[in-house]
Amino acid sequence: MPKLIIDGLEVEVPEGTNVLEAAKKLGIVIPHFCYHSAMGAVGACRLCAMKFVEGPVKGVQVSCMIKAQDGMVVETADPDAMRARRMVIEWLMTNHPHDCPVCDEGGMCLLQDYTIAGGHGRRRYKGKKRTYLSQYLGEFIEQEMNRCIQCYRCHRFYRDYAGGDDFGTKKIANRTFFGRFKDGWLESEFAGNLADVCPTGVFTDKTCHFRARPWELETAPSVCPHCSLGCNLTPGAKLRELMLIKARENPKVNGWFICDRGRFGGGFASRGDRPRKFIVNRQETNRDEAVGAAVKLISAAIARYGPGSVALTGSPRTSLENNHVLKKLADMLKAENICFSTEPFRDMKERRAVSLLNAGSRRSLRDVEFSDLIISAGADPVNEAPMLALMMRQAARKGARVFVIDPRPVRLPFAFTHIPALPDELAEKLAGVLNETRNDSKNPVIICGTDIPGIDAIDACAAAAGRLNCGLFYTLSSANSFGAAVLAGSGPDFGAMLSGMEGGNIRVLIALESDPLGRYPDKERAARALKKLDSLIVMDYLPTDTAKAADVFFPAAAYAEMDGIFINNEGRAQGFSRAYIPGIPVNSMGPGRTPPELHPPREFFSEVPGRSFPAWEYLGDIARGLGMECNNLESLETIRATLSEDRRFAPLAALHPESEGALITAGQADRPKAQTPPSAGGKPDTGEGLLFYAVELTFGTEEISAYSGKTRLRAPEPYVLINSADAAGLGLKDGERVKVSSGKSALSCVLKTSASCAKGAAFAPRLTGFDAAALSGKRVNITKESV
Amino acid sequence: MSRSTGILKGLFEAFATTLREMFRKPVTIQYPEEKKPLSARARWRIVLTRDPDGGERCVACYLCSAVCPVSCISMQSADRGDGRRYPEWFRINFGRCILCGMCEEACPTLAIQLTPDYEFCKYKALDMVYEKEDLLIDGTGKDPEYNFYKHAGIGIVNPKGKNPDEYGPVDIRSNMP
Ligand code: SF4
Ligand code: SF4
Ligand code: SF4
Ligand code: SF4
Ligand code: FES
Repeated sequence: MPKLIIDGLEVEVPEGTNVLEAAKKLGIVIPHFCYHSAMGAVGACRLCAMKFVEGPVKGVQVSCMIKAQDGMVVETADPDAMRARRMVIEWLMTNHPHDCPVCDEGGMCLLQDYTIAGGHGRRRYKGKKRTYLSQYLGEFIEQEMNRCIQCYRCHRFYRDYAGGDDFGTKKIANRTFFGRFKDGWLESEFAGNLADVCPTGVFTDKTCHFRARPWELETAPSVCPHCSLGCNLTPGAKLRELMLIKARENPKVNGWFICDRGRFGGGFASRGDRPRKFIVNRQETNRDEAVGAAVKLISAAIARYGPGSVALTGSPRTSLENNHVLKKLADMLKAENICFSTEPFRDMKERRAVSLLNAGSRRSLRDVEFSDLIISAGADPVNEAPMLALMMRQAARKGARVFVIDPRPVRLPFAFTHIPALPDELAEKLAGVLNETRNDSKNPVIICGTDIPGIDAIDACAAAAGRLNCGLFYTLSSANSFGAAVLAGSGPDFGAMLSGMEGGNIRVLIALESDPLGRYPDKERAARALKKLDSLIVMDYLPTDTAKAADVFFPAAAYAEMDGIFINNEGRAQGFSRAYIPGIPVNSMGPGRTPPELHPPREFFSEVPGRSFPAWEYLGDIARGLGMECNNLESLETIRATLSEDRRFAPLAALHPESEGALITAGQADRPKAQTPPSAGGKPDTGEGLLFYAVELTFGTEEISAYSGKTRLRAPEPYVLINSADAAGLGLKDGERVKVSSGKSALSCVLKTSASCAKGAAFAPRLTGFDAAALSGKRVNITKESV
Repeated sequence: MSRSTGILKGLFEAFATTLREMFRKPVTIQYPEEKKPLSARARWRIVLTRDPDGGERCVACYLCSAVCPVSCISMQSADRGDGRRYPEWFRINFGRCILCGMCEEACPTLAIQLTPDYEFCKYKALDMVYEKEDLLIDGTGKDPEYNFYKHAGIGIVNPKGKNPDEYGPVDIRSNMP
C-alpha cells in the first residue's frame, strides 16, 4: 500500500489508486470532468492537474492518470497547478455556447461550477464557436451537442459500462461528436444515466425538459419502488409534481446508476386521475368521515359474523411499516385472513425463496459484479431486475463466465451462454452447468427468478448453493416483496381468501395498496368474489380497478411522499424519506389553465389541496376508532420500535436513510410448505398446446410504473413469443396477428418468433389492457387470427 | 463660552433659520396634482420586456426568482413547442417585493426591468400579485438592441451555426478537416 503526502497530509491508499482518488480520501476534491469512480480515468479533460513536487514523477501532471506511489509529495494548490486548471477551463469555454439560462443542466452543472470556481468571468477569445446539429434520441434523453467538453464519459458509460452499441464517438479532434448513426431512441435500458454522467448540459432528462431548476426541487434520499433490487435514488418534486429522478450512490446495491424504469417511472405520482379524495359510497367526504365509515363497517361485520369475516391484503409494493400496521390491525381484530400479495402463485414462490436465503449464501447486487461465475436460472435480468444485467456485465468484463438457463431468448448487454430450458428442466440443467464449472470458480453466484420457475427450481437453486458453497440471488417481483413475504410467513394466500369471499365467510376486505381486481390472474373470479363482499375498503395512490370499486377509499401517499422502509431481494432493509407533501400539483390546479391566463389559482389555501397521507395513519385511525389500545401506532418511531421487537427485524434499529441498509433474515420457521396450495395455481397442466407464461418487461409491466406515461412510451405492442420452429410447425409467421386461446379465454396479439426460445413454450408480457396473466401456466393454442 | 450665551446663541440660530425658511420657495410637492420627474433608473414597478423582434425576452431561467431576497417571484418554465424556452406563467407578489432591483441585475436576457412607475398601491393584498399578463409590456424598455437568442447556441432566432459568432455546424458524416 503506497504512502504519499498530499498538501502536507500523509495518506495510505490501496495499490493502483490514482492520486485524484487519494486526495479525495483526504477530503481534498480537485475539479475533474472525465474521471468517474465507475468508469475510471482516461485523462481527457486535463482539469485535475496537481503539482508533483517529490517522487517518481515531477511537475504539473493530471492526477487521475498517475497511480499513487511511495514517496510522492503533491501540492494541489500550487500556483502552477491552479494556473493550469484555470487555463483548461478557459479553453473549454472558447467553444461553449451562451446557453446557461436555457440549459437544463444549469444549477447542477459541473462546468458552470468549475468555471466560476476558477474565476473565469470574461471571454478573451474573440473567435467564432464550433457548433453541431443535435440528434433526436427518443423521449427520455435530450441532446444539445454544442455544450460538449469531450470528456468521453457518455461513451464510456454507454458502450463500456452498459454495453450499448447504438451510440458512440464520431469524428476526431475538435469536431468529436457523441451520438448515434441516425436519429432515434437510444436502445439501452440504462440510457437515462447519460443525464447523470454527462457533466454538462449535452444530455439532460427530456421528461422534464425546461421544467425545473435543481434548487427548486424538493428532494430526499429514497429507494426505487419499481423492482425488487431497491436501487437508491433521489426523487425531486416541484410544486407537488414528481419531476426529476436521479441515481444515488449505494456501494452495496446499485453502485452509481439506475435503470430507466426507475428513472422515468415516477409519472404515476402526478397523474391527473390519481385518486386524491376520501370516498364513502361514491360520495366525496373527509378523512374523519371515511375513518368513521370504515370503523362502522368493520365493527358491524365482526359483531354479526365474527373476526373471521374481515380479510386484509397488504402489498409487496408498499412500505414495511404500512404492512406491519396492517398486520397489527389484523392481530387486534383477531382476523386470521391476512396476506400481502394478490398474486398467489408468485407470492408462494417468493415466500419460499425468501425463507431460503441465509447470511452465508445471499449476495448483494454489487457482489454479483465481483463473482467469476454466474449461473442464472429462470430469470430474465433486463426485464425483471434491470440493474442486475448491468452488474452481470461488469462481472463479465472482469472475465466472469455467465450461463443463463431460461426458456426465453434472454438478451443481455454482453456475451454469455444461453441454455434454453423449460421451467421444469431448470433444476436439471443447473446441476449440469454447476458440475462442469463449479470447480474452477472461486466466487460463483446462482441467480434464480421467482416468476416463471416453479418451487422445485427455487429449492434446487438454494440446495445447490448450500451444497457447493455458491452465492444465491433471487429476483422478486416488487420493491418490498421480501418484507411482505417475511410478514406473511406461512399464512394463507389470496386464493384462500377468495374462497372465503365466495363462501360468504369473508364480508369485509381491507386492501392496502393492493389491487386484487387488476392483479389476481383470474380476473373474473376475483370480480365475482369481491362483488359478494358487504364492503371493500381500499387505500391506494394508483387509480386501480379495486380503488374504483371501493366502498370506502383512502388516498394514500406514494414512496417519495412518506418515510418508510423497503426490503430488497437480498433482505437489505433500506429507509426512504419524504421528499414532498403529496397533493394536487400546483400546475394542474385552478381555472385559466389555457392561455392567455395560464397561471395557478389566485387564491391561497391554508392546507395542501388534495392531500394524501401514509396508509399507516389511516390504519391507526381505524384501530383507534375500533376502540383498540394502540398508542404504539401513533408515529413512525413507535411503529418501528414495535417492528424491531420482532427478532427478525431487530437489525432495523440501526437503520437510517443514506446508510447502506440493514440485512434481514427471514428464518426457516416461516417457510411455507413445499407444495403450493391448489389455490395458488400449482403445476402447469399437461396436454396439448404450448405452455404459456406471462412475463415481465423492462417497461410497461411493473405495477407502479405501468401507471407512468413516460415508461409506457417504451412499452411494446402486446405480443406472444414462440420458437421459430414451433411457429413453422403451426404454419405461422413472425409479425402475424394471432389468437392465443385456452379454454374460454383468448388473447389477440402479434406473433414474435425466435430461434433461441425454448421449444414448446410461449411468452407474453403482462401489459396493461392485455390479460396475459389469465393464461399463465396453461396450455394454449395459437392460431392465425381471421380478419 | 458661558452656559447662558450658549443657550442664547442656540435660540437665535433656531429663530433665524425659521425666519430664513419662511421666505424660501416651498419644496413640498403637491402630490398627486403635481409629480416629480424620476430618473429612468428609478426602481419601482417591475415589467417584463420584449426583444426588438417582439418576442418575449424572458426565458424562464429562474435567476431572478433565485436571487430575490424576499422570494416574491415565481414561474413555470416550459418549451413553447419550437424549442424556445419561456415562462408558462410568471408571478410577482408586489406586496412582498422590496424593489431592490436584484432581479434586474441577475437577468441574463434583460427581460425583467424596474420602471419609474411607483403608483400601484392597491386596497387588496391579492391585487398586488401580478401575473405575466400584467407584467409583460410591448416594448424593449432599456437596452433596445439586445436579443438573447441571437447569442445563445440553441438556434431559435437564427438556425444553429448561423449566429454571427458561430461557425456552421460540423458535418459528422465526413472526416475531412
Ligand atoms: S452545460 Fe453548464 S455551463 Fe454549459 S450552458 Fe449548460 S449550464 Fe451553462
Ligand atoms: S456529451 Fe457530455 S459526457 Fe459526453 S463527452 Fe460531451 S460532455 Fe462528456
Ligand atoms: S433495477 Fe429495479 S430497483 Fe433498480 S432502478 Fe431499475 S427498477 Fe428500480
Ligand atoms: S432572470 Fe430574466 S430571463 Fe430569467 S426568469 Fe427572470 S426575467 Fe426571465
Ligand atoms: S479528470 Fe483527470 S484528466 Fe479529466
